[in-house]
Amino acid sequence: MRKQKIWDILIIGLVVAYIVLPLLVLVEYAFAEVWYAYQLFPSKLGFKWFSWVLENYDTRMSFIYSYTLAPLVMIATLALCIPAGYVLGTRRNKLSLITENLVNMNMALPVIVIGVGLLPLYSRLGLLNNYWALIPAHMIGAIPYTLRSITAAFMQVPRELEEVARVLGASKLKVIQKVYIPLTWRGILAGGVFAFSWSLNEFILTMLLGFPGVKTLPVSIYEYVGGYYLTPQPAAALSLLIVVPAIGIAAFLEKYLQVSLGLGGG
Amino acid sequence: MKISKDDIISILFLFPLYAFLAVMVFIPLLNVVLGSVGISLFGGQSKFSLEGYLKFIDPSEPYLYSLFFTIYISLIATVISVIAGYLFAVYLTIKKPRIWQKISTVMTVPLFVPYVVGAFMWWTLLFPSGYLSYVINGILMSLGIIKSPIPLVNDPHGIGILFGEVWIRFVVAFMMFYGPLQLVSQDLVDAARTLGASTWDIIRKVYIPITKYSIIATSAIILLATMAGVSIPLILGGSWPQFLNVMIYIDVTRLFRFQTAYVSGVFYIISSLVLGYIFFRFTTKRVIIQVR
Repeated sequence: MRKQKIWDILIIGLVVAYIVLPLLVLVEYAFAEVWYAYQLFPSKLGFKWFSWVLENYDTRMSFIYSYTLAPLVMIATLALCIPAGYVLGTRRNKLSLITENLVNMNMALPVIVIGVGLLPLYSRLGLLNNYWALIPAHMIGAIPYTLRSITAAFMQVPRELEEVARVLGASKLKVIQKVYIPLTWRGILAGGVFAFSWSLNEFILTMLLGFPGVKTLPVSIYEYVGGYYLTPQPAAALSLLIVVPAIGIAAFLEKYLQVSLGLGGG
Repeated sequence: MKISKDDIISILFLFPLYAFLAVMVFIPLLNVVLGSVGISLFGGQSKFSLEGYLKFIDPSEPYLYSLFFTIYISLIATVISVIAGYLFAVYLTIKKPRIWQKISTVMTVPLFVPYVVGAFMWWTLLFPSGYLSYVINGILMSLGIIKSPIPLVNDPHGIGILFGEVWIRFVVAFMMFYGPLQLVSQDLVDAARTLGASTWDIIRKVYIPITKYSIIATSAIILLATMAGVSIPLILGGSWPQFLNVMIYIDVTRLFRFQTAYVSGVFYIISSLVLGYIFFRFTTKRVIIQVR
């Protein structure tokens, strides 16, 4: 029994270390104020790089772009997915199945292929480097997840409830207000949070369609590590500005909405 | 045929979604397919030609080699992730360690870390002054396998890409296996044990046959995700050879070779359709079998 416990701790410990180690090193880089190449650990820790990224115009703008685009993408995605999710969740007909398959197919397609196909269209319409034009671009990856969440929420509402309310004289609006909203808000909120998260993490479409005019946080991180400057400390500080909210969102979804989904963002 | 009020509501509610998908997904995909044969949907020079395809298969051009490199590295990452994820899920299913309940949420971390950040995290560990670089090179040198430190990131063998991909895909594989494994009847496992089967026999003769559709579907989706992801090969890959999707990015942003980028895009569309089909086909089958 004791031998088994040791094995458990050893195996699970190894897996957890494998998952967490890169994150710990990221934190170490973000707080390393002085770290000479010949040293194994930083000689001085502090918040220097956080203040630097928030004072630097470029990175400050990328922070603003990321955290203003995400709620806009969330609102637009919800506006599109709530009516569609209502139909898919309450009417299980052929049209619903076709729609679901089309949206699922979208999930399997690499974002870069769609981005390359969009590039000439955006160029033709003069939408490259345009902040507002990134909203629909970010919605491409967000829609399948949001729609799934909302559809599932509507599927769980018993059809009879709507019928009973209608028989008792409730208007269509009253049915939505008194039947659907109280029973589906968790799913809708989860869908909205997915869209928010997706936009925050979206990288390749922003690079193709928004760069260099609009740089979000992932694009700025890439600039620091993708061969332009090779300076890990500011990139680490910027990374934490996305990772901490992302993990917070994950914890929120798991704890309050009992949903879990991965959002890597291309 | 009479259209009911219900149908009208359905169409009205679904119309914005269809309009969005048409403009933002299907027209771009059509543009990629037509563009691969030289036909432009959005103006500019438009003339049917197979030049892009000829360039793609020309061995003196980088595309064919990139394609092989992409498939080769993605297959290795898939095999490692699937085997490691499956074995860990089986281990937890058989042993049911109590400690796992307390720390299981740690496993979801890679799912919520943006790929760009995940790739960067591995870069900090693997670049010449990174901790893992010291450890791995130190071990290999002390064993006499190498004489001087080898690059573990931005390297020509795709080692950095493998580290980054496996970190994310291992967790995805584990999560996709863990659920189906919990549905395997404990009676079957107990019966096998009573008949004298070892743990390894139980894995081979009970768990693997029952969850084989889950294994096929998970492998397909992980292979597709690894081949399609851009951020990790872009940050952790070397200057040569490149992943095919990185080639697409370079083609359109630096070299302006749109036609070859579209041809590479067509390869991805076909792969997505084939692997996506395998995934959905076997996940459906798996569900049916589990319900029975």
